[in-house]
Amino acid sequence: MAAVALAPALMEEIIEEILLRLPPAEPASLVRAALVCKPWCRLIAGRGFRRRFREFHRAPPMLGLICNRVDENFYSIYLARFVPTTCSFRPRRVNRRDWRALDARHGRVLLRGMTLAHRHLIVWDPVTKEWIQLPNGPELVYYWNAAVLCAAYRSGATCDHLGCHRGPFVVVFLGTSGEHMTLWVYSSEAGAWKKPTSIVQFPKYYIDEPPSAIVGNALYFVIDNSRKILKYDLATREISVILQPPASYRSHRCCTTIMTMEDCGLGVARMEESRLSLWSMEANLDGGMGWALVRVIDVQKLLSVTADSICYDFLGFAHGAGVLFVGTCDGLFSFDLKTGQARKVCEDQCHFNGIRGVIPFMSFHTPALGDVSTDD
Amino acid sequence: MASAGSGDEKAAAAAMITLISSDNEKFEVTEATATLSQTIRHMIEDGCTDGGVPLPNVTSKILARVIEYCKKHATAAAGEEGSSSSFSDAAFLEVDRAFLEELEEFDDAFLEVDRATLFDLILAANYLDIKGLLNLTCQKVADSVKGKTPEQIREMYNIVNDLTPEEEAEIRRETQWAFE
Repeated sequence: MAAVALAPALMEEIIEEILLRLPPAEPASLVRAALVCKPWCRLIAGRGFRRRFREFHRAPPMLGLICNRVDENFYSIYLARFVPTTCSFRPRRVNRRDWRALDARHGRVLLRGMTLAHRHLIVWDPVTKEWIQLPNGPELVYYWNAAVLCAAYRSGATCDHLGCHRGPFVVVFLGTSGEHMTLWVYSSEAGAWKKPTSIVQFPKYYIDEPPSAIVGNALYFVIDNSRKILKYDLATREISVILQPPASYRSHRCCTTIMTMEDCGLGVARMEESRLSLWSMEANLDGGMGWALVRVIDVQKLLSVTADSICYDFLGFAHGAGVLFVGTCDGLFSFDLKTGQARKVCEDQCHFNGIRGVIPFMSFHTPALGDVSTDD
Repeated sequence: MASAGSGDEKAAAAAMITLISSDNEKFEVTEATATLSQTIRHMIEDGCTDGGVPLPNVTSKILARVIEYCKKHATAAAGEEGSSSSFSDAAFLEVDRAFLEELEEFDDAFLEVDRATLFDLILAANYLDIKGLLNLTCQKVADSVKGKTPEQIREMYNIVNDLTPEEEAEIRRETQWAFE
């Protein structure tokens, strides 16, 4: 069959309808289509198309994982490495030595320098390569964790978080020092840290490493060695502490992470020995809220691994995608809660000498293509 | 009230509309089939369908295919309305699922056409404003573009590359990972 001329036959609005339907989880498709000809390139690089692409697909795909690991070459015990999961995208710099990734949300990654000389917080956009260093703020703390989020949460503005990664953001830093826990908030609009809030109404809890979660309009951190959760209401600024689901605590082989459930409620995933239990915060008969055990999974059976090979340093969770990440000596596995499918996403070992934590990176990759795109 | 409404709908569904292709062929279709096209729906609402609806942008060959699609999906839409109003038992849901599967099979078979026909269908779906058909056909083309190199896409669709070597090199430099 003779080739059919697509370009003249179909007007731009139809080309756009076609290109909008390229899969966001394969961002290379969009980049390659942009190299077909000038009109396609201008279209794809245009601000309007990029916005419509996000609106059409709604849920940003997982472009990869940022793994906190020990450097194989032992130059450093801290290395943040971008590991692609399903798609081919990777940032120009894959390895960030002496950095630890703390959180990723709405296309931004929050990292902290791990050397004595560099304790800065950085907000990084792996797609645009933007690398913003925050001014010094939080003082010396023993235990800490931090979150990055769209500024709309605090201002009460509505945002669908589809294209806000170029807009204003907020970093919330929770730390425990000598006397109590303290909360610091940085606003990119002000370009400065606000006056810290001392949390005197609660004891000085240990602050755990799992990334925070946003459920509704509140930010949640795991604290007190996975026994409790600190809730920070982003609108009212109220701070409260809730108990985690009951645990046996018989074994040190235990780890926890906070999840956003499918119904957008608060959830907890806990792995004890090789038993993975999923809990959901639900309304009780008496009208109060309580934990309900919704699912128990045998990790050994699921991943076909021995109990000894399971890593208890971390449990990763991709909010929105509903995917858990479990580390083993045989590599890193993903487990899709919806489909029940488990697969190996990375061959690297997960133990004290390998991967110690994962932060899923979810974002649209709609390329702005240099000088060829003149539309902005 | 409700029964009077559905009576009206039945009367409307039985009304026939004549569509006239660019090569002057006439097609008699039910209003339910024709109104899958927003363009025709508006013409009916404005009362300008007496003596037939001329569609100067659509050939009889393509119009026949479009009508085939609309007939099938109009039945599907009617089925959905029925299920939401009165039926809710498992047996009915089973029938519903079987029907959806059949619809999917129909769509797959419907897309088994050559590229020229596919583009004509896209143009017709766009002109007649039939969302489902536009989505179906555009997705088919998108699937054929996905995973291909720029060279393969140009060859497939006979597109001339008017990017300068410098522009091309710059984009490739910025997005090297997409070509490995």
